[in-house]
Amino acid sequence: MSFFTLFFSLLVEAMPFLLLGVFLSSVLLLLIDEGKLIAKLPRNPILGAIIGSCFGFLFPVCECGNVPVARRLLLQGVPTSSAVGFLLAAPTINPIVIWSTWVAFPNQKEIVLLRILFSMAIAIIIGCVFSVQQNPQPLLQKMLSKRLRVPQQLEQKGIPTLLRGGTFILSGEGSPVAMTEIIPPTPRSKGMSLGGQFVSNIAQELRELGGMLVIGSAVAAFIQVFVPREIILSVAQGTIGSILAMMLLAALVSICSTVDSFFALSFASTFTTGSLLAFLVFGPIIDIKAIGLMLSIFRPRVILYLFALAAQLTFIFALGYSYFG
Amino acid sequence: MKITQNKRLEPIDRVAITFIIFLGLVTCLLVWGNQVCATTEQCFLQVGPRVKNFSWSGKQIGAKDTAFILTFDRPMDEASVAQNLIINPPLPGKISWAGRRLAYTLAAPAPYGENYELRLRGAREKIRGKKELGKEIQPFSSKFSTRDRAFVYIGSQGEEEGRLVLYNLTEQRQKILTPDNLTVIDFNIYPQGDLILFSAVQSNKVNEGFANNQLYTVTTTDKGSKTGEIKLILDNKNYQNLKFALSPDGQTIILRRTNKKNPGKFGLWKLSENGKQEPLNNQSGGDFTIAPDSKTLALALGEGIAILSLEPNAEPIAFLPQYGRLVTFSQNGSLAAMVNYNRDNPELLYTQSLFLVRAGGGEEKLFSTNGSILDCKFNPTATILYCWLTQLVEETEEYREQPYFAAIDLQTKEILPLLVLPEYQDIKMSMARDGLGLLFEQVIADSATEDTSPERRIWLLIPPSTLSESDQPQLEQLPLVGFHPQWLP
Repeated sequence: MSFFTLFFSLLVEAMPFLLLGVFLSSVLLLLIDEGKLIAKLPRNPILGAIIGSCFGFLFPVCECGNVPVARRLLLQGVPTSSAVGFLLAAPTINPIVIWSTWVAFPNQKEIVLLRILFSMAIAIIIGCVFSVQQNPQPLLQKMLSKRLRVPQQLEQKGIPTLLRGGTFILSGEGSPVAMTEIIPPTPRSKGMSLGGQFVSNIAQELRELGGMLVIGSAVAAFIQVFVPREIILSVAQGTIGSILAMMLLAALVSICSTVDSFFALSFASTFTTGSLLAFLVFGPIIDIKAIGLMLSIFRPRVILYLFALAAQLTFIFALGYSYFG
Repeated sequence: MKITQNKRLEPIDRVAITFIIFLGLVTCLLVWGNQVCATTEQCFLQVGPRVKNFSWSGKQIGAKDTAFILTFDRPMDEASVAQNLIINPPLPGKISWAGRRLAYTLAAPAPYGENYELRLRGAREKIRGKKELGKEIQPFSSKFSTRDRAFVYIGSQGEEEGRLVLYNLTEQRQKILTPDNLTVIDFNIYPQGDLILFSAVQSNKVNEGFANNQLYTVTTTDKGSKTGEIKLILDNKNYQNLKFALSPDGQTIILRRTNKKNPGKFGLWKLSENGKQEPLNNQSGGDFTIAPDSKTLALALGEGIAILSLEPNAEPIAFLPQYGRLVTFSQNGSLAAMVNYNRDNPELLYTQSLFLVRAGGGEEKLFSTNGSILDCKFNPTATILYCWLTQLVEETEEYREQPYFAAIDLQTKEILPLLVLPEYQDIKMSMARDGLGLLFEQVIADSATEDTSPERRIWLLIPPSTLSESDQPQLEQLPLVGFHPQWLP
């Protein structure tokens, strides 16, 4: 009984945000010219990560809605640092979440400020780490990497053609030309109206991501039934224990970032500010339910890197705040 | 070949694994620091519990500040905190907890003009689910002070004449607040004590009468030589301002005004903080007082007291026909002292009775007198009512009223006369918000020189700490000449 209650509550809570994310992703697909978007994004990994982290203000989605949007950004050829920056920061760095945190902690403004600051810092650092990977294909699931429309010429300008990968045609002048440079961009599906394409994309993404959300919610509900919260909270002894417990709780309860501050508020009287921050920063980045969705984009080892880096950075920031804040 | 390709490390693998190892080392260092600092007294890492915030830290507080909040960074053992929390000099109060926040509510307003220190050491962390206590708190100490004792009066001599004067009793310093071109008639002080609302006429038009007054505010800083900053709040172009009262929250002014063109059109008006003027459109009545809740008004109406809303066109909330005068409210508004003139009781005719009326309903008669009830004030905790009363002295050929000061214990209803004054005229008192004492003016009319205006002296009366006949009040005449003294909140 409690499994189904938890499962459906997670699903009902997340589905509107997934729909919003899929909707925004479809808008991006149809209305944004990827060539112009990519040309406008900075190539510098730090700047790219910062800008990606701030995309959340344009697409106010929680950790379920950010996955389709991040996936679309990657498919459109947005640099990995920006897409990862968006994926990690958007669930926190957006007006709805900032407002709800402000409302939940009216007397502890430092929680609002530090939540933004720590989330931004973690997204930027991990975004920078991922910027070393120029070619995003090895990061992505095979099916997705085939659909990648990265205009590689942007990346490879200035590199001798002999050192580039891909298919080349020997021109009349004897110099090889990349296929991607002479083949005109794929026109948007003919015979289907803009609205039709929009609906078709929504249906496709919902099919792919909706299934992952159902599986993720089921796993999260299953763990919560068999590992009750009391067991997690019982390890919360001292500064370190309480931070670890709240991070674990954040990952397991899989609550949306738009409402997680109110959940954290119920622990405000018994937990340290550092551990509350750990909950509020780590939860939107990684949770069981969102891991399912992330598996639709990234290969498992990439998710492991994301998880490990986010967990370590959250722990260090939260503990650092407890020591020096 | 395929297996070799899969096993080849991509740049992301190399950088991510290196970074994860580096962060792992940093984490280990921090965790090790936690272990080391847990057993070391002086350590660069703050491992033990500590006070995150003290709401009065470094602040100057006033009578409005009745409680402070101490916020800890983790749950604390409540008993050990209560045992080790020290305020010097002592300020009695009650502790209550809301999670990691401790609220300390003062039993009575903190005495003014004092410096306080709050210290906490030796309190311990509470460990969830365990009986034994955790680490000891890092010693905490912080200072705060109460504002100087100060009051404002209207000067009546020399350059102070007709001007508002601020007297800092703590530092024995006085400062004229209003310019010499304005003659002040009446004033009310805003709740934070930073502003005063006053009615005044141009000094060169005093002969035209006080009805042409205008309302101004003036700032109350007692630093510097300049007068306070004056701002006109309400002019007298179309209406004459007859009487005004400022609500205790400082957001509303109630005025009795009369139309200059149509004098028959007069009544109560509401002037809001945003400058909006609205007629209340209720019965005009007589004297009025705004209740401490700042939402209702007690208005003398006919032979009773009407309780009205401050909202225009509202129906009267209540009418108390048995009372002829509202004397005072307690600071929190839960009690009121009202006078019954006993007109419906032939046996008590020509006597006055003082009643204690509770906001939640219910009334108690405190006493009846054949003299007069001049003015009363509750102490801040509303346990004692101080009154200036008169006693009818029947001498051979004439009646004479002898004024005396009395304290009434509201628990026992015992009346204790404390002081007798030889001369008086219409004594009005002001009770200090911290309960230190009462200010009142004494008007001394010199019968030999009838033409000159009477001399007005300001007195400070400090009631005894306990109500017993052996404990006498202290009465001090202040070296000030003026009238209508009012303590700053």
